[in-house]
Amino acid sequence: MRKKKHSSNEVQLNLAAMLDMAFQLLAFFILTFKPAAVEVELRMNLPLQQGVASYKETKTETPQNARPPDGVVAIYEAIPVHVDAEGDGKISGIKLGQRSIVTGQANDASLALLGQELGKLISQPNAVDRVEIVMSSKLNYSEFIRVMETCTKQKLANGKPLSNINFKVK
Amino acid sequence: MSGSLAAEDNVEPNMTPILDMVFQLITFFMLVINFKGAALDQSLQLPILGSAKPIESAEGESLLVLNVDPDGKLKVDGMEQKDPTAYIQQEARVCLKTAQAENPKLTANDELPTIVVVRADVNTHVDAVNTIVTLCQKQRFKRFSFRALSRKGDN
Repeated sequence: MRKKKHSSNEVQLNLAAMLDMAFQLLAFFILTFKPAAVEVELRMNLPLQQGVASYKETKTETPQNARPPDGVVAIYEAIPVHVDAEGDGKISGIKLGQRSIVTGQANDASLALLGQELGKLISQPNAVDRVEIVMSSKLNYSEFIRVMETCTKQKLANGKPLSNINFKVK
Repeated sequence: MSGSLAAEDNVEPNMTPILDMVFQLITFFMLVINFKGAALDQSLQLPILGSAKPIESAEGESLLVLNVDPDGKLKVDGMEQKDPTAYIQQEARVCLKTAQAENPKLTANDELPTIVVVRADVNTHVDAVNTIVTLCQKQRFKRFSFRALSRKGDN
């Protein structure tokens, strides 16, 4: 950066001023640096035909239990997950078909239970690979995304993650 | 900072390495400034979802960022959109034109390749989110990215 001439009339570049300015700039950037929390995403394909506009009771049979009683074959196009909410937007209950999985507010353990039960249903060979989440309109976004995440973490019989999810608001 | 002696045995510290390092640090901080932050409404308190996937954005992927505030109002670049239907229709037209420039075979009836980024507050009712999603679906948007935070932020 600088050339030193070993002669009597030596010309020296004074870097002190430049360094001071550089330090001031550095101090500014350090003080104003505010690392934002990293955003994560739940990416989903939601085409229109899997409409989400209005709630319509499913007419097909719904799973009463993880395993239907002997001699009874449960036929359903999509596994319905009903999510009810209280006035404050928190989950007040979750049903898998007609079966109540969570009563009262949902914590991590109860959502894990939902995931476990849902996983059992969809991981069976020839099982339905579609889940329909029917939610109360009072439910808030944070609870909604927790339920969606629980569903997307489940795996189908072929090992692929569950992606065929749609939601409705009642 | 530099002590120079006007003598024959001139002792002067070599400033070059420290200056190089400082400039590298400045370059780093300048590069990490998030210019895209303007589109992301920092007033929204996103839910925390520790185990969700980090954002995967491929080169050239177009995004439509929609912020939904706790009252269910649609906000884009900090501005409230009074008529969400008209706004989404307009964006769909722009997205279609952009997509057609890359893929001329794309018709007006095809699904749009743009990813709709939904950023909603923890207290936003899912009804409002559903309304926005439905409006987008009617304009042939199919790909959605629901956003959350990996940990608690300062905002």
